[in-house]
Amino acid sequence: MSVWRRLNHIFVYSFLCLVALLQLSPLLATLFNSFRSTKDITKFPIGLPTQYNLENYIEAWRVGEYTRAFANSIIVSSVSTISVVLMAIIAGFFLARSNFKIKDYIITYFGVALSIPVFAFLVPVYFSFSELGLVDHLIGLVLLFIAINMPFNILLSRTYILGIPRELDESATMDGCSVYQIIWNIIFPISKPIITTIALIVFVTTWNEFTVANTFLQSPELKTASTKYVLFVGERGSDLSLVYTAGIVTMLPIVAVFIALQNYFIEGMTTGSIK
Amino acid sequence: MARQVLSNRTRRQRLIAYASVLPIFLYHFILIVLPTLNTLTASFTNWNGIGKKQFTGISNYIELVGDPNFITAFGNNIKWMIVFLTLPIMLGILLGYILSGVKKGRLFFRAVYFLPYVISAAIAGKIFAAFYNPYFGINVALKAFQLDFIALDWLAPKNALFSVAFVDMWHWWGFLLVIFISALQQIDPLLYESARVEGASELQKIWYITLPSIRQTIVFIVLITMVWSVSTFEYVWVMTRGGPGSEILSTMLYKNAYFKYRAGYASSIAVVQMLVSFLIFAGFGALRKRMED
Repeated sequence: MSVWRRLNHIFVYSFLCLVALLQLSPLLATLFNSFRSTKDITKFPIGLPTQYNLENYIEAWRVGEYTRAFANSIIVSSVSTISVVLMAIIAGFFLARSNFKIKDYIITYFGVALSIPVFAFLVPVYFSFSELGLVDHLIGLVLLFIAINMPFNILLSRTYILGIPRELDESATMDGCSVYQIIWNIIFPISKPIITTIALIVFVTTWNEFTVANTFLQSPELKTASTKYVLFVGERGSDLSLVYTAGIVTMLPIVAVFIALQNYFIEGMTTGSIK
Repeated sequence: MARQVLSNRTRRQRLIAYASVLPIFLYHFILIVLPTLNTLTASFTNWNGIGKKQFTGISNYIELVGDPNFITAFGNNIKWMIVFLTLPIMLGILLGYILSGVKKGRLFFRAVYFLPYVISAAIAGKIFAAFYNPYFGINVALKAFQLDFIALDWLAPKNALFSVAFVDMWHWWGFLLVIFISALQQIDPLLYESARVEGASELQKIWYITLPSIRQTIVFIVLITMVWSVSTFEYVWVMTRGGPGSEILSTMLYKNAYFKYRAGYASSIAVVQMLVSFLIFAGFGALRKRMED
């Protein structure tokens, strides 16, 4: 029995390790290639670097104009994140607590809005924004990112606020606090876990987003990091070491945060997907 | 008197609620729903995106049905759907089941499998495209190991769709795994215990306990997989731009809207996508109702 069990254990863990290795192999190969020269990569596509220096990285950072690209990404993702968090808490609060006639309709509305795919509205929005001069502007992209991320996160925060005992804000009302004082002083601090989750979801999805960002930002100097990478590979695709190095540079911020906060990340990004 | 104060107060609060929620609702309505309605109307016009719309009836839809490109694209979306309904879901359930059974390292493996999910399609797509390159990619290594027979031309028309889907699956199945692990953890351990006492095999346990217990999660995943397959875009566009062999509805739509100045025709493709998605939702709704009855 115990021998069988041990064998079974060995088999299970070898299988898990094998899958892990397969899953990581493209990333490891990319990481290794980021230190190799184009000549070496052309000769053989996967292999260990002969030396570890940051030459490729400095070159990729310079050629890809990554300072600019990361600044764009940080601006777009931070502004979208802060706006969505504020809207989600405010709308979530009133949709959980208040009694007004159209409340249920609005909840249903956001529920249905969840299932509207990007391509349902992309073309008309693009041409309207184009007329308003909002295409090829970070502001235009941010406006859309906020709208796209709103429904899910409003419903998420509403569900959370429903779970906060009513007595807390009722007693504050008795003490003469205004509604917004209650939101700010009571709901906000208690909702920290859901706020962090919403912030994480919005930040990562907007950081990684391709379709809308690539459509609405066209000038190379306005591109976000991930859309810039596609452009970069299009222009410098033959310089293989730069392709891999720039790939690592572009994915590094998110992957680093993921490794640091993995469990929080995983739970955050899958929250609300299932009831 | 007290009642008067109270009702004034509730009235005031109601007003604040309206004033807070309505702008948020309107913001979303104007940026998302209004354009969606515009897509519907534009699909009945010959709109080029910039000029005036001219009503052309259902001519876009008639053209669509006769467009061989559309038939190919639609078929490719179906192929995509079938692939995503099988491989990633099976992998997610299998690894989820195994991981639920181990104590040491569960969180570590979960994180490793999930990692590709946080990487942008733009990056993953382009890096895999480099690996798929027939001259400088993995094929060089495969040939060196005498594995010429699997050194296919990955992004050639014949293989492109599956090669692209493979990358999306690499990125996607870890997400499913996490969903399935949390569903599997809801299963009452007593069920497995009694199955063990009765001498059930591992396969019997999976078939009679595990799968029925996570049925609702599976149905949900099947639903979102089907709906997402209809409007999938990013990986295909990044890797092949919907070139020969990998044209799908969204890439066809994108080209018509932004490269061929045929926003009206593109809109009719978007309407088809919405219609199919709606039918899938409706079908699942009906199925759910029948299951509850």
